[in-house]
Amino acid sequence: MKCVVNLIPLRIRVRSPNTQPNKQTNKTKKQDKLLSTVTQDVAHDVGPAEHLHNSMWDYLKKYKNNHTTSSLPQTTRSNASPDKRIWITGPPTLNPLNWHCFRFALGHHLFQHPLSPYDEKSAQDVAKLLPRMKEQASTATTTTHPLFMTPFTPEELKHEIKKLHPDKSPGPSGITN
Amino acid sequence: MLQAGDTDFHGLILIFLNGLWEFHTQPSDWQLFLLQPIYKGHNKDKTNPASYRGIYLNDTLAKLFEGLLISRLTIHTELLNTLTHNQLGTKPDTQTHDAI
Repeated sequence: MKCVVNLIPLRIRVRSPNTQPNKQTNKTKKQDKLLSTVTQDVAHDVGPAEHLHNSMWDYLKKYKNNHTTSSLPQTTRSNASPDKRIWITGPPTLNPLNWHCFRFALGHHLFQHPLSPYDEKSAQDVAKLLPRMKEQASTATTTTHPLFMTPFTPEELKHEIKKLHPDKSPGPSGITN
Repeated sequence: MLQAGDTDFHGLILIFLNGLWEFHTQPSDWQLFLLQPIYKGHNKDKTNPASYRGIYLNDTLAKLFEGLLISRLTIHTELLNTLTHNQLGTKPDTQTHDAI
């Protein structure tokens, strides 16, 4: 076995000592400017300097209270149609239930409605078949597969936890991935 | 939080999920979702609810349980070949581009 090693000369850049203190001074100047602006803002928002021992916490609380307001408009357009299953934009009102009215109109199936956007004939054919299918399902003898009788294993759980994407917003429980 | 948990934490979750699996139930809170309307933009009317897209936020444990159920169901469908050949989405080793 032959081993070939390429010797590459290392190039190290040595900075001149005169440049370093200047950069440091610039950094400190920037930091001082930032600190002064932040303290001025805090002092302006919170009040007199006597309460500055807890000023940052108060500032954060005030910031949170000011910036957690909803961006949704207070007035929303109402449903102008007499049939609540159809959405027709009406005049803006202060009623917050307009959102729910829109959700109801959006999610309603509109089955057997004259303004239904779906194929009503085929839907009625399927609806006729449903009682037969229910009878067949009730009389049929079903045996459950052993896959649906065995409990979950720790390996399955670990595999599923790994599949969850990180940095996603949590649900109502607040548990993150 | 779930990925950072140790084996004891995962064991507790497994006991909880296996209990649900055995008794064929689910917590009633899993049926509640957080709805966040997001503005669609393009200078649409902000007061019209139709110009917002609703995004539902579900519970993380519910999503985990759904994932476990889907994995079992896919094993079952692959073993017994219950799905049709036209079904290409949500099947392992297939994609919707295969239909082209």
